[in-house]
Amino acid sequence: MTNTLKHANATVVDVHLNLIDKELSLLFEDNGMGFDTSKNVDGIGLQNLKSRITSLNGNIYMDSTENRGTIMSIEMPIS
Amino acid sequence: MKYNLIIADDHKMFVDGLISILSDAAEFSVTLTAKNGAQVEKYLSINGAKDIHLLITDLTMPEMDGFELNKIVKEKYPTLKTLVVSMHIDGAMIDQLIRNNVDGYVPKNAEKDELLTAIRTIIKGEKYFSSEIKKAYTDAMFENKKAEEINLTDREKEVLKLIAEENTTQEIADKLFLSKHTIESYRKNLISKLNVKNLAGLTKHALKIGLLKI
Repeated sequence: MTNTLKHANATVVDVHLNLIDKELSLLFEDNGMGFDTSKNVDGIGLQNLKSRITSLNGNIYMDSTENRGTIMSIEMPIS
Repeated sequence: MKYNLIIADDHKMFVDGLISILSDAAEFSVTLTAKNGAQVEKYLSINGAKDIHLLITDLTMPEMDGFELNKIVKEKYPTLKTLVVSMHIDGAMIDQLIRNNVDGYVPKNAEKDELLTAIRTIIKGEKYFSSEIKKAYTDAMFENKKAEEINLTDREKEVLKLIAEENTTQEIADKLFLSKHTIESYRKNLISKLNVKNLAGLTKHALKIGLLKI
C-alpha cells in the first residue's frame, strides 16, 4: 500500500479480500506506472512481507508490467 | 358525512361487485365508475377532485392504466387518495406505485371486510397495504439489494467477459498483459463473489449483466 502511494502514481486501487474454501485471498491491484519484475530487486519491505507470509504457509505473487500497474496477490490457508 | 368514491376498472362485473359491497356501508357513495384511467382524468379535469375522497383503481386497463392514473392524480390532485385493487402481486409494480405515493394496495382476491378496512383507513389519512402486498414488496427489495451488492470492478468484468468468451487462462493472461496466476486469482474470486459453482455459472452471470453480445 505504501509502495503504491509512494511510487506507483496510481489513480485507482482495487483491494479484494476473499475467504474461499478455508483460504484467505488478498488481491491488490493498482493502475499505476508498474515496473519490470525481472529488473527490480525486492526491497526490505517486500522481503519482510514475503518472509512473514511464508511463515504462515501462504504464497505471495507479484504481477507488474510497466504502464499497466501492479497486482499483488496473497493467499494463505486458515486453519 | 358521506365519502365520495371513484372506481376505475375495465371489468364491469368487478365494478358491480364493488358497488354492491359498498352499498352495505352507508357512509360511502360512488360518484363515478370508469372503464380506464383516461375517463377518470377527464372527469377530474372538468370537476376537480375537491369533492372526491378516494379513487379505487385497477392496474391493467386499456388506454390509461392504473400506474399512469395514480401518477397523474398524485401530481395534479395530491389531496385525492388512491387505493389500488389488482390481481397483480408483483414487488416491482408495488415499488413503482409506492414511489408515486399510492395510499394503499389490496389484492383482488381479498375479503370484503379487508377492502372496507382499507378504504376506511385511507380515508382517515393513513396508508393501507395488505399483508400479501407488504410481503411481495419486501421480498423484491431484498432481491434487489442482493443484486446490487455484487459490484464488479472493471478488471473483474474484463476477466469475466473473456472467460465467458471461451478464452483459456493463458489467452486471457496474454490479452490483458497479466500473469496466469493473477487470472487464476480473479477467476477464483469471481466464482466466490458471484456465488456460482463453476465456469458455466460465470458465463451465465456474464450474460445476465450484459457483458456478452449474442
